[in-house]
Amino acid sequence: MQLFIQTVWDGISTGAIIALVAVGLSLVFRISRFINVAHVDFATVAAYVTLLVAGSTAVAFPVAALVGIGAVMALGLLAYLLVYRRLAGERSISLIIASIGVAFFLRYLVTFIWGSNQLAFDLPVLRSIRVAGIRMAPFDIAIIATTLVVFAGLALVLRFGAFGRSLRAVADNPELARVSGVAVDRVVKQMWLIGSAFAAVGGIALAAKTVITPYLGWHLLVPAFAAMILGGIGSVGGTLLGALVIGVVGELAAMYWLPTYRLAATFGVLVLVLMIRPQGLLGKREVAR
Amino acid sequence: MTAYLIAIGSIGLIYALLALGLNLQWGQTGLINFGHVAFFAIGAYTSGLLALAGWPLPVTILVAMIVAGLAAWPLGRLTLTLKSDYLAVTAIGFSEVVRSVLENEAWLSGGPSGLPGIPTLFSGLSGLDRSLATFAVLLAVTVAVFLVLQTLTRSPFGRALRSIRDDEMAATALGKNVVSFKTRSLTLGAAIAGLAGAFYAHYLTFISPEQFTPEVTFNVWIAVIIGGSGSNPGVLLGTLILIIFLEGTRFLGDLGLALDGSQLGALRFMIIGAALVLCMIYRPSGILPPASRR
Repeated sequence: MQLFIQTVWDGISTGAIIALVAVGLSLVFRISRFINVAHVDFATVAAYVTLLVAGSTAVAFPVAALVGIGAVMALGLLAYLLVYRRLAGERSISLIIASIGVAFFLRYLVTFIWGSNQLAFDLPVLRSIRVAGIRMAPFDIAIIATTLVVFAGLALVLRFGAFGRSLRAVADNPELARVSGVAVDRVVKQMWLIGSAFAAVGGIALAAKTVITPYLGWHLLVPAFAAMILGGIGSVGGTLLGALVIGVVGELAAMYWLPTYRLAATFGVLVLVLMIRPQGLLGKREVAR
Repeated sequence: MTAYLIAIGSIGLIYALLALGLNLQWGQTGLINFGHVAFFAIGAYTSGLLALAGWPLPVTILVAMIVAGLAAWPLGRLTLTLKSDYLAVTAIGFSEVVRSVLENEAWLSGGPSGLPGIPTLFSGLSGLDRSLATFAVLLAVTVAVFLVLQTLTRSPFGRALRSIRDDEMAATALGKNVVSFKTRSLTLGAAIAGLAGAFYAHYLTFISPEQFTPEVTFNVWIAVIIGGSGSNPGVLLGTLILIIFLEGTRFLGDLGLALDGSQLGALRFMIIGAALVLCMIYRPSGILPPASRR
């Protein structure tokens, strides 16, 4: 029982990271209407940039992380301007193929520069605290807290802010939004900045929790996608819930089955959701247009 | 030199089969199968394992096709009623799961150390004769698959696939069972990938999970897209370009570039990634697009 609760806790901290990546994927999907496969490689780039800044300068780690996040926001905007905007009129299948091209390019750019060996941030090891016999690393507590705060903020902004209103307008019907006076292009750019920032935070968190390899983000693709579908596209709360489920199921599979079957378990959840409730837990059924 | 050329030619034909299979799915039907390597792997392991168990090779190759095709069927039923993007990521997940099963279930697949000693075609021959005979069979099979696909493309079935690719709602409105057509296209393309896998296993006589990474899938994708999605001759040209590129870059190291082996490999995939993006933007129909869009 102790082991089970410990595993669930570990799953929640993994799920918090998946949630960060998944919500960015979901936001970009809502506004640009395709699954940006390269989103998870943005996470990888953020980890490497942070490593570069933290390792080669005297700045504190949080500052390096901010540089990493900023760099990836710029990268996301650049990918939108150079690639995705040019394909904006095309069907989503053209965009998703371009995005796998971007993903490949970024992953192997990282491999080219840093090699494929495992690297890690030079972070102090903090003593875990014990709560009712459960080991809780301060880092895990921090990442769960951060995720909760960020998600609460995002939910508030999307529901009540002027930006959220514009965003929903553009997501529902770009043409109608345009004629209603919404600066569609600006909203889309802002969306890419925010979405990429989420990928970056998730990537840096995962890198700090585990190790950095060129495949860091790639391994998040299926869990993040599964979380997005499970929660329901467009539902911020649903994405968080979906990611926590995915995280916990993955850790339980790793503990009680085989560590390498974490992905298989995640994939199993995805298959179940697609079979039973493809619109997700909190999503609404979409009508083809 | 002859041995080298035959080796390149054989691998090229195996890639050509993979590309022809993907072209049916993507080029003709518009299915984003990003997990093509899974069916290649399933074909290779099925035929390899059965041959090691003593089955005759023509039977194992046939069974490999069937098993690879059957493996695609549930994936199609699962995702093809949903948004077209869903297949893409689900197929990536499927191919990664297949690879991790091959790595972990050592009792079946030999695990990470792979499956050595797979029987070859023409075990009576040796050396150059054997590779030449194998190459001839592969060539014949590829030509046969090409001709079948050309016929299929011109048949009512092919027309239905293209109508679905171009306008799914119109095809539905005309009474086509879109999901059934898509599933059949996916299954048939996967069976061709399984055929490629079977030949790969018997040609190399050794297979291991690390030969079946997502990179294989995207090599095939770039061959299809550069050559001309939807055009079988275009796809063969695309495969030729891919093989020349992959083999040509192997010798880049000799040009005195200060790159080590892994950097060279990385550069190769950076180019493939960039080429995918550039193709989608500037030449989505490839070098040899289908003669007519109808």
